[in-house]
Parts: sequence; C-alpha cells; structure tokens
Amino acid sequence: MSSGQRISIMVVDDHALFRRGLISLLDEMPEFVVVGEAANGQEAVENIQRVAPDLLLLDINMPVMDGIQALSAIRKKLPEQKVLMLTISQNDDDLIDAIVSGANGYLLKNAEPDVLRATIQQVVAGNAVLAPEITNKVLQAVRRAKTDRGRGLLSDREIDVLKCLARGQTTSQIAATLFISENTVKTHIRHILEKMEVNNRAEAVARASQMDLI
Amino acid sequence: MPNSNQPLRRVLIVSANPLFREGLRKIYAERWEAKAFIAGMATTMAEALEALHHHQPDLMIVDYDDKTINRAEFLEHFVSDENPMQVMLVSLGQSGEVLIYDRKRLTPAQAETWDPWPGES
Repeated sequence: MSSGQRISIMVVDDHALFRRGLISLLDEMPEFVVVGEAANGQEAVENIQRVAPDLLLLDINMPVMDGIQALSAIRKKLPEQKVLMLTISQNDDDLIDAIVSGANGYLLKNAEPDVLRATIQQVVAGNAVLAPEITNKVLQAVRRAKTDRGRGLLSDREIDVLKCLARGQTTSQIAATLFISENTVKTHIRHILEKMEVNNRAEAVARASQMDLI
Repeated sequence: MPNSNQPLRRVLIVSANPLFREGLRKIYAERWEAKAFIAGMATTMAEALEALHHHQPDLMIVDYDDKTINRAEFLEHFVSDENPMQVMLVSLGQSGEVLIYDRKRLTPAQAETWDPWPGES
C-alpha cells in the first residue's frame, strides 16, 4: 500500500460540489489520503498511471467519457487496479456494465460515510462489494441470464415436454397432452438429455428446475 | 479575521444524501468559518421546514431529489415566507448549474434607492 499505511484514493466525479465534499470527508478519515481527482472519465484515464492510487472512486454518469468507458480503458492498462463505482445510478444496465467491465465494487451515493469507509477498506483488501440495495438486482440479472441461456438451449416444444415430465407424466400421457406421437416424445426426451448433458428424465427435470425453465 | 460587529450567519443544510450532506457541511464550514456557521442539518422535507422555523437561517442549502425533498414544494414555502434569506438549490442527481434565490426585505425608502446591479455603472 502506498503513502505509508494509508490507502491512497483518486476521486473521479463531474459534480464539483460532491467531489470536493467527498474529498474533504475522506481527508478527515486518517486511514485514507486523496492523491488525485478528475472531473470526467477521460481525465481519469489520462492521469491514473501517474497518480497510481490504491483505489479509484469512479462515478458513472459524466460528460466527455463516462465511468463505464473509463473503467474499460483503465482495465486494459491496469488490470489489477481496484475500482469502486460510486454513483447515483441504480440502472440495471449501468450496474451490469460496471460489473462486466471489471468494477470491484458498486456503491450508491446515498450511502452513509461509515459505509463508504468500510467499503473502501473491503475493496482494497481484495473483496468485491455491492450496495445492499442493488444486490438483489444482480441476483435477478444472473438468474435471468441463466434462464435465457436455458431457453436458447431447448426448443419451446422440448420445454413443453419437460413441463409434462415435471408433472410426472409417462411417455404416452405426454403424447396425449401435446397431441404428438409417443415416438416424437421419445425423440424430444433424447434431445433434452443430450442438450442438458444429463442421464435420465429425473435429472433433466431437476436441472430444468434449477435453470428456472419449468 | 472575523468581523466582530457582524454576527455569524446561520446556515442550514438540507439533503437526504448523507455523503453529500456531510461533504457540504465540511467544505462550507471551513470556507465560511469567519462569516457563518452550520446551524443545522435536515434530511427530509418535514425536518427542513421545522429547522427553518427553529433556526431562522440566513442561508439554506437544499439538495432536492424530488422524492424526499421536493423542489417545487420547497420553493412554495420559500415564496410564501417574508424573512430575508438566501437559498442555494443544488442536486446530487444533476451536476449542472446551482440556483441561488436571494430574498430581501426593504423599506419603501430603501426600495427607492435599491440598486439591483451593484458594481455596474
């Protein structure tokens, strides 16, 4: 860690009042030292190697270059740089883009100072931290991605067959329910087992349930 | 050096966002140390109106977010009152311009000689 044992921080935010206030607050905390500031993503990208902070506090919505673009550019130059997004945005796209682009943490600007303090320490220690308000959004996005992947894997008809299997129906009952032949049902089930890489109908139902397909 | 003849002005900070609120308190408490002090802070519209009545501030810094602290509702109170006061309207959600409202109270004689643009010939 640079600057003795203190955590060095660079603050990037276009909102001058917020940025200056935040720097004043961080300066009050003895374990931190603010070593640089920038008013947009481009300034951050241009200066981060010279400033070399332990942690970059990065806003998202900024003119010239936003925080997500800046994060992507910084990741290419400095893959190990610790970056904590500090934003007002609870927008799903911003959140997912930040995570995909390599943010180590995501905190909202309405956080309490003590929460910011603890989050900075956590991120610098190597942990990933998300604001409690947005953790649920991330979980939902992951579930959605998993379901989307499953839906891409199986056809609509195969999912219909899986639903019948989940109700405990036999081959002949499925055929009757879906108005198809028993041979067609068997073909669908064979394809389902292959695509889902499972060995039997029970495993297919269990996997489909995990993937929120049924 | 502080002017001992001039009483310290009272400043009230209103914001539902703790980081912003504390940051404003810190920067203005330091910058205006000789002229003003932070008399109070409020986090909701109700608290702001109560603090307004209680502290009778010379300046209110209001961070409106239109959920907790509604700009239009606040301005209605501002317009309907008469005591001299300045208001600085800021918003954590918008990094654009800051609005300043300056409410003065003049006697008719003062109004007659009032120069709204001091320093201009």
